[in-house]
Amino acid sequence: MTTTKIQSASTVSPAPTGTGSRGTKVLGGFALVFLIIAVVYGLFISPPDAQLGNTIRIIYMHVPTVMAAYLAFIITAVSSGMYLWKRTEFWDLLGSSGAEIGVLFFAVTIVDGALWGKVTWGVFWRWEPRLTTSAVLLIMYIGYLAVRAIPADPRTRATRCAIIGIVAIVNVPIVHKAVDWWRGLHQGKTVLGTIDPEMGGTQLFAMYSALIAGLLVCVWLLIHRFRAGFLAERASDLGLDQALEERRLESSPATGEDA
Amino acid sequence: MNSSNLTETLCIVGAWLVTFGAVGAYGASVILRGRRLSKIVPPEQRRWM
Amino acid sequence: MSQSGGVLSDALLVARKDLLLERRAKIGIGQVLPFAILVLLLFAFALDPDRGILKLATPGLFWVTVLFSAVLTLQRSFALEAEDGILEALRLSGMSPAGIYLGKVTALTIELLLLEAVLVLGVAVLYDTKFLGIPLLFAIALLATLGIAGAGAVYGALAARLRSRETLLPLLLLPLLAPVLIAATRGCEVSLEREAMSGWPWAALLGIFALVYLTLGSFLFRPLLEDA
Repeated sequence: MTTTKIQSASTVSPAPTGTGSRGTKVLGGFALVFLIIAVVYGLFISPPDAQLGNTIRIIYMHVPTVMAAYLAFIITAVSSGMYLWKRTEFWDLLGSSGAEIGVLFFAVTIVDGALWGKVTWGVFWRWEPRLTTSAVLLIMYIGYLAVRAIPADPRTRATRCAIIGIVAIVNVPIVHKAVDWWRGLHQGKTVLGTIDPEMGGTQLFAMYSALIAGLLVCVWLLIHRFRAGFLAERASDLGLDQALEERRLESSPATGEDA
Repeated sequence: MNSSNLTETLCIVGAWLVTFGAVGAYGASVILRGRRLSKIVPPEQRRWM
Repeated sequence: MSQSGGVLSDALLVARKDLLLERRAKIGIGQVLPFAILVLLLFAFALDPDRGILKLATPGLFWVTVLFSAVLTLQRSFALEAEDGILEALRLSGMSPAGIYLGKVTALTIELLLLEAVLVLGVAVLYDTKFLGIPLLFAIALLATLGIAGAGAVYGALAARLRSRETLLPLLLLPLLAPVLIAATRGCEVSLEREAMSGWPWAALLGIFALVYLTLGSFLFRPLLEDA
């Protein structure tokens, strides 16, 4: 996707002034179209669900965000494995971008789930298997970001993160299984994070357009975050005062151990 | 009945606002960061494919 | 000493070294164990023994105590090596990373199992617990401890060289071990006859967890020692 190859200096078009490119603009355009469809159908046109009532409109947000989060975490895991194999900056940056975006979507997922719970159960939190699993995994990936934020030389930091990225993804199905069994004794089928095949036409349409929008936004963010990370690395290579200031803002200067 | 309807509406609107707000704010921060960094990094190092 | 004598002999060597160090320093017996028993007392203060909550929650409290003690044990075990550069020296001496890893895991497992044995006594006396289903209990303790040590050794080594390791290790490790806590607690409840379901699926889950992390750790320890 976003290879960072430096083209020859004689290229005609001027260098971009940000992380955008024609590709991201097209992608962003598609995402926007699906988002608008999702808003129109999800909030206005589609009828309330027979069982869930109007709360299905929260599920329209819950499912895409959780799927986007998992997409991001899978990308992090693949990148982590590739980093340990290839040892290139590309995979390191892609992995850390994925983790950050996954954490964002997971946090949103949990808030949406809790709001759904408030309507459905009358309380924000019940130990629903999907929500519980999400909460555990969220904290696991916050750990990844915490290690990422610790200053170290790039290779050391990248290796640490790659190891955590691999360990974390392997734990995802185990947490799922454990939490499902743990709650399985106490309650029936879960509706959170699933698409009911018996949904009506406009409901399905709203759900799938929200899902596509969510995944497109996820990829779009990933590309921008990757490029921002790449620029941050180049800036820190330059060692300019300005660059150091920039890096200090995100609390990850380029060299030395943490103090 | 009325207050539960209110809760429902608030929660639905809240969920959509949180989703769009959080993702939007994050996206904006990443893009602004990219623009800021682009001023530092020399042009030949910021060519996207 | 051992020049490429195979993963197993490397592992035994490292495990023996760790256990010897521990026998000399007595940090486990002198500090971690008293801490664990203190936690048992604190739970009793927090949960009022007369209301029966303590008895109901015994398996969970036991395993939470084990997890906290495991974090302390791990920190201790890897802090020593990070300070003296022992892991580096071991790797440079030609030992296989997988051997070093399995050695650390073996030593940790033995230390934690001893700790658990004393804690079980403590629980039996302090919380008045009656134990049934002894084979299941043993299986769960062994598999859960292997899992804790297997995952813990990876993150213990990873965090050891960071200044913020004291806060970072629990943040990284405890969410990872959440399934172990769930499975070990439920399994123990079965063996105390508080749950109707059979306990062996929980033991199997713990076994899978341990197997996955031992395999993963054996592979990841090489990049971990070389670069992290």
